[in-house]
Amino acid sequence: MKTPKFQCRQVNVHYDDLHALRDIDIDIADQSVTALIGPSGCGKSSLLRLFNRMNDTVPGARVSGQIRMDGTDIYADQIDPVWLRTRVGMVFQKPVPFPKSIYDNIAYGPRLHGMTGNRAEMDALVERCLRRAGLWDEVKDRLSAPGPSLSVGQQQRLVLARALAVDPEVILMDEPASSLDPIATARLEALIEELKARYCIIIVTHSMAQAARISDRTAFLQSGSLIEYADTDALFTNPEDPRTQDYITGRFR
Amino acid sequence: MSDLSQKQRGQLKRRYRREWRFRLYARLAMIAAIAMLLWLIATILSLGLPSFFASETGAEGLVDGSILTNADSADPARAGTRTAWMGSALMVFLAALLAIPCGVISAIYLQEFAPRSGLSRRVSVVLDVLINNLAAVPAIVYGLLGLAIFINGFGLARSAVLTGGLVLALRIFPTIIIGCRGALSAVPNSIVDGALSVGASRMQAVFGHKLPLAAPGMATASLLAIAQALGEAAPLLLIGMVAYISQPPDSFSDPATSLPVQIFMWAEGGLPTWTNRAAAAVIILLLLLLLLNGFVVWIRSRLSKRRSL
Repeated sequence: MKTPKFQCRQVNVHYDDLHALRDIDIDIADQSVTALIGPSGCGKSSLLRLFNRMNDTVPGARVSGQIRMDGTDIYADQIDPVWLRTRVGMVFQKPVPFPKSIYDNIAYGPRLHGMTGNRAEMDALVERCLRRAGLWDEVKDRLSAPGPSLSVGQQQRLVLARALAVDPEVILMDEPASSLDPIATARLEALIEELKARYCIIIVTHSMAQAARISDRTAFLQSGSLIEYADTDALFTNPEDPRTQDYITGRFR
Repeated sequence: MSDLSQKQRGQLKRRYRREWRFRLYARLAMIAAIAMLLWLIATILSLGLPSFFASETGAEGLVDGSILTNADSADPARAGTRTAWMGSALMVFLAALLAIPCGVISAIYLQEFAPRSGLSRRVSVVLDVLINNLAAVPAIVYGLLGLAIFINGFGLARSAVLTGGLVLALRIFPTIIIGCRGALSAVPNSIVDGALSVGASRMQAVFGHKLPLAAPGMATASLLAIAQALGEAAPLLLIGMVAYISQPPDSFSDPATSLPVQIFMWAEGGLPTWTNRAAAAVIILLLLLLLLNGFVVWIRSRLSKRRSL
């Protein structure tokens, strides 16, 4: 692997008395798709939310260990989580577009950070992000329509475009396809395939088929521990750990 | 499809019968509650309505606004509620002016910004309990508090508009906090998460995304608190609003009375002529509350229409 984008060493996460992640060591490569799989409550979402410090907003959450992004400890005191989140974008399970127009949904982030000077620049940015998220052709004639009026599949691409607008290096996705139908899911997966040339993508998914289709490397978690982390092909065809074997073949205990 | 067995048929019948019985009890309970209410309203209307029509001062059957425009008087036929409703208006205005901004800001802080870890979390929990307790404390206790602090402590005038407004403000403060926190917690956190994930600060996420969605609920909570203040008599009695006051208040330091207090004082005597006057004042108070609650419904529908966009 090239120099990893993220390096996690001995990471532990507690929510009050709940030990959500135990001694996680994981390296995540840039310009690739990394899938996190495992049963509900195994800690995969907790792990995902470490990378943009969304756990900071959870009451009672404590994080220990080291998480480095490009060699910089992102939990160091001098790192501002607000700044970090412009570098590390996130797409959630259920798309929640802001109750604003499609245009303003995309422009919200860049406006916050004063990224563009004038209207023309912003127009270009909005178009670029919508194109990249594969939504431009469907909405180019109604950019002033409210974001929530789109279909769920379009909303999911809208929030993806919104995340791209602040020009991140990493995109985190938390079960982005769980509320999408098969056609919208296929579109999203094709999009992820395209985006990985440019971004480091980490995706949590319940669908093992999806993980196998789109990811380069897959991490299997169970009860807060990282059981196995390998190239996706290897993990799905020849898992080393019997627990991984049981999970991907559907034998649960 | 095969037919139901005898046993299944009997079971199904019992289940339907059970549901039918529940519906019957529920309707009876509802009718009993509504009947009491209607009876109360009918009594008040029959006692109070004649006071809105001239009988002793002018010709029979004419609409007579003296109950609204006259000040209090020793003569029941002339006694009006002008002093009372002006006092109510001033005091409720003052209470709302003080309690709503404080309550709304406190609610936002407690719900969204108060630290949620370690010792400060325990402090937040204790605060929650205290505020809920305050809202449940009998109103008369706030009167005692006002008497002890505002009158005996700060030396404010007894039965003054200012003192009454302060006491009412204290009374509705916890109600506003609880209502506004409820409105805030009803907004899904995913809204805030979305804003945070594109790099909004906590304040930008809360004020730009959560507050607009919580606004209808917060407005409702504030208006309901105002309605509560409007109907409060006990704490005002304790800060000395039991004197006969005929002069409507001109300033915040003037002695005043309020509608509920006026009703209490008129009804206290027990003479039928005064009781009728009290019933008329109750009608005015009820109409005011109806107006306020109607306004709540209107503002809710208006604001929630805007947010769906």
